[in-house]
Amino acid sequence: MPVREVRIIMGEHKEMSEIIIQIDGKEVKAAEGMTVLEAAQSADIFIPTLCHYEKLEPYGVCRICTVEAEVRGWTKLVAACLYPIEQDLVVRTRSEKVDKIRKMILEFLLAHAPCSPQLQDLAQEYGADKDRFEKESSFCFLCGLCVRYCAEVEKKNAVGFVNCGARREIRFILEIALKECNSCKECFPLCPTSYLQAAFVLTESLAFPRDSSQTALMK
Amino acid sequence: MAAGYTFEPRILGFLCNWCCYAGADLAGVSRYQYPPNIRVIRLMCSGRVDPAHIFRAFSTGQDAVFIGGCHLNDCHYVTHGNYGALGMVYICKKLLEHIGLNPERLRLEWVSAGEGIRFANIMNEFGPRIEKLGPLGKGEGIDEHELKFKLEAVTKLIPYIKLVQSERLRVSVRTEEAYNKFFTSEEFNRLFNELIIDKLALYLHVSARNQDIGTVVVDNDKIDRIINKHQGKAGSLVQVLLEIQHENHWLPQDVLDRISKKLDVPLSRVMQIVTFHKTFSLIPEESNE
Amino acid sequence: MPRINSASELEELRKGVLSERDPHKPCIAICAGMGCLGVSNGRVISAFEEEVNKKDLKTKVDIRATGCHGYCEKGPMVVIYPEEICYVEVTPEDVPEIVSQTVLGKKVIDRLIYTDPDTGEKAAHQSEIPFYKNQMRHLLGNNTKIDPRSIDDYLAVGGYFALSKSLFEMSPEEVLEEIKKADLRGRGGGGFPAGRKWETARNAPGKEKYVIVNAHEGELGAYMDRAIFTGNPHSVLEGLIIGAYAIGSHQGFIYTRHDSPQLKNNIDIALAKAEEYGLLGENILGSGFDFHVEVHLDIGIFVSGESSALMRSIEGNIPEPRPKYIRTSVSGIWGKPSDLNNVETWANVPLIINKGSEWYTGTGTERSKGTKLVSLSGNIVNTGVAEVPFGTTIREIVYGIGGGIPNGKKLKAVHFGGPMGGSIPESLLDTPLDFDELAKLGAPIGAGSMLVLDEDTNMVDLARYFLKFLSDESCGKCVPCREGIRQMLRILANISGGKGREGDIERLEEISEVTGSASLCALGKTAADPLLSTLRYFRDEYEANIENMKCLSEK
Repeated sequence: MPVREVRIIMGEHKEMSEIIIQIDGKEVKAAEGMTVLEAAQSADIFIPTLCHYEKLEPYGVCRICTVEAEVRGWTKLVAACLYPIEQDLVVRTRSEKVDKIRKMILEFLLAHAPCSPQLQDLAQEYGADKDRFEKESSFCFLCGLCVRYCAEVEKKNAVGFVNCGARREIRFILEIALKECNSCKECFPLCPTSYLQAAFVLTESLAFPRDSSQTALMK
Repeated sequence: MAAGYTFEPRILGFLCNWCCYAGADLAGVSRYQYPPNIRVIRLMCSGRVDPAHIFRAFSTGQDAVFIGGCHLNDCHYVTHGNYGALGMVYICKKLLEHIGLNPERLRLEWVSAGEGIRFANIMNEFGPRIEKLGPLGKGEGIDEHELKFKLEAVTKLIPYIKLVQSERLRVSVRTEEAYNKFFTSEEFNRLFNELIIDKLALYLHVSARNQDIGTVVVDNDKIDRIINKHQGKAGSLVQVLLEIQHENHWLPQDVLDRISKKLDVPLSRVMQIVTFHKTFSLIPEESNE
Repeated sequence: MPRINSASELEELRKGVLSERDPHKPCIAICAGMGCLGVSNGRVISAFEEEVNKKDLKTKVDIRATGCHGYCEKGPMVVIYPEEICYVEVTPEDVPEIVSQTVLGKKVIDRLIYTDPDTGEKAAHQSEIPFYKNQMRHLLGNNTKIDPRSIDDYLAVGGYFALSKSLFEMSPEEVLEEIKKADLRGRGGGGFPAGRKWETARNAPGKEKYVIVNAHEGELGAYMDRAIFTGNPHSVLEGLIIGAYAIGSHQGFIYTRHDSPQLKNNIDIALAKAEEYGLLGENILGSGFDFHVEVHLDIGIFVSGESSALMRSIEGNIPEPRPKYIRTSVSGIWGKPSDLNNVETWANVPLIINKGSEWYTGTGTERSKGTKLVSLSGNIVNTGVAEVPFGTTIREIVYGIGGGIPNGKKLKAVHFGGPMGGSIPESLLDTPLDFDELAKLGAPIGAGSMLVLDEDTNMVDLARYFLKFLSDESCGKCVPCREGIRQMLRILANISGGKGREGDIERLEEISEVTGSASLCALGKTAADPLLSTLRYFRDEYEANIENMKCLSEK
């Protein structure tokens, strides 16, 4: 369930108080219920993200925002966009382990979409080699920004995920897409590769008309 | 060949204004003879030729398409459009091959403005070559309707193919060697097959199947009964789908639409669940239960 | 059947049931578990019914199609009470002889009893057969005496006494304390202390709480949950109701597989009967405690056994896990505190309440108390479900109960935990069965499936097999799991196909490090564990494969 709703439930029983945590040695004051990413952003500390977007619920699937979180002597690796802050939390946004993870995640994704500008920027920083892994044909890396935007903001659910595991992909729902998308397309600029546009035109082309006129489907 | 009938191939040529068209013009002025079957369309740059033009040409009865441009690295435009033409032609040739047509029907040549005789020689070679190959489709032994269907399918997929090409099938270094190396590589073959051929095959399969299935008769009462049994709760979506799959052995699209409406869940969520695991079947085949 | 409204009424009913049963009356107990069904014991059951009818013995002899006896290798199994004579691999043709010779004539038929393949020794009684002798059957023992479709059978062996004791003699806090003192650890694979989980759910804010039985059992090679749930569903149900009472929950869920019709059938019948008798539903046993149970089926994917994915599925969504930064016992189904436990864990609860935590902690090791069900499969003589106390060494299980390796082969390794576990090599076979001991060796006990591997097993192929399974069954949501498994599979396919390159092992270790630390859920985090454990103990097999390639390419 979305992190924010849990915060509201917990807030009913505790007062929303201010918490002091440490990020990269810096003391940061943040409100209870914030995630590590939100706290870092409020203190102008940068943590890279790929599947995160302010208008949407955090998804936590790209895992590139992984940071080291230490509390009560235990250190663990968590996704900053989802992990709720707590008192005495010590966060390290860069470390050998974290950098290794980020480098490999980038290399995984570059095998799919080497031309993505977001990936290329980060690849430089972490020394990721785009030829490390064999090239994959699908250039979508399933960040879910398009699916979530259409579900949460537009509330049209014109595009969704299908299949599971390595065969997971996005797909437009033909009837809804033909009706809604041409006047909207607000998700298009969110796509870090251009797979979304490719999937959309593919959907349009696969609209196999029972008779050869396209207008039959546009009702 | 039947007596009294000679096949006159129809060739469409896209010639770039600066080099090839001038070269063709020079050939004409210098009275170099070449077969009259080529109809010429003048463009500003060979890079302007779109796969849609090529396939429209084939769909409207041309037997061959010729593209002429400036020599590589001599393009009159800063954008080096002729490299674009080169990449595009590699892909179109593969597509032609896939639908059963001889890829030699599409030809790309670099002819400069002063190479009039070269232009004539090329045409003198190309024309008879196409004559030998025979009319489009008939020469390869493809049925006329099937060919029309397949050409239509490729034409519909062109916007997708172009996006895929610009994102995934491009070469970063602009040299003839790099282009040739990439487009003849294993990697290109694999990516091309997975990204384009698979989608084309899917399209052909879907449309063929749609023709086979025709209209599906769905027992709405039975569906409603199952939905009501679970009190129409959104949380029982999975249980409803399982029961219908068990009874009906497959899930027609209309049933999914109905479930989506009655349980008030977005169709994308229903689709996600039914494609998630092979438990569900979207085609009327025996499920493995 | 009027509902039972008090503890004393329950005991009255129990006395009544027992008084109608003559302990000396012959009873033919035929195993109707999943394994035996597969070898058409249905025909054996009908053959007995036919024979008994023919000989006009219906009132003199009981026939009972019971739950799984456990010794799946030797099915169809028949036990004749009260002598407890046990016949193995019974065919319908044997039935007339059994009825006339053993049931009526009280004579043992030599050719049908168990023969030890090594010593030739025969054993006529179930308790003498090595497979059973070396077990401690607290949970499974009743399976041979109960028809899972009959609630009276369960009452006859003392069923639902724990429930009435909890409701009338103990407060919810006392029940919780007892489970905590017993140190009951989760039997589904996590090994997390159940008492602590119950406490978190109990103390979590909110009035609506849920309890869930995880009967998904997706782990490859694990079939013990099915044995106990199909064979004795009331034991699990009783545990669930007691747990709900302790936590303060009034709604329970049973999440089970969609492809086990017999299990679902038995669960439905058990729920209906319990409700009829007033042991479930409104005002249970007149105590004022309400509790209802819903059954949910899965869609068939392995990841839906993961607790947060399971809860998503119950909500009607896709079974996708979510990170457990906020525990599911605090926020689970629809955001309400939800306690999820495995079938075997729930089955232990009535036992603890009946006999007390002190008795319970008398069995097992320092940190792993009680017994564990293990399902033996692979290259082993005796396949089946066995119940052993924690602390039993793996050697004792494999040889003492499992009967060793067939065809005179040597043991190479024992694999625990399926696709998320690891292998123990022969040299470490004297390790005691214990959550922590096995975890230290990189082979966590998981749900208890033991895959026994002989010397002909290729460990590289084994790792690849498990990884391929996970690749098909992963939800594909997060990058490290989806992409990491994909890339590791590629390298493994190369290695086992003889195309391994120098540095492949290091690459595998690097990828598994990222997948293990950055994945969203336990599936991704432990996906590389079988691979890592085979690398730990059988690294030479990988290196040999790569060496071969190197030699070939250098030539």
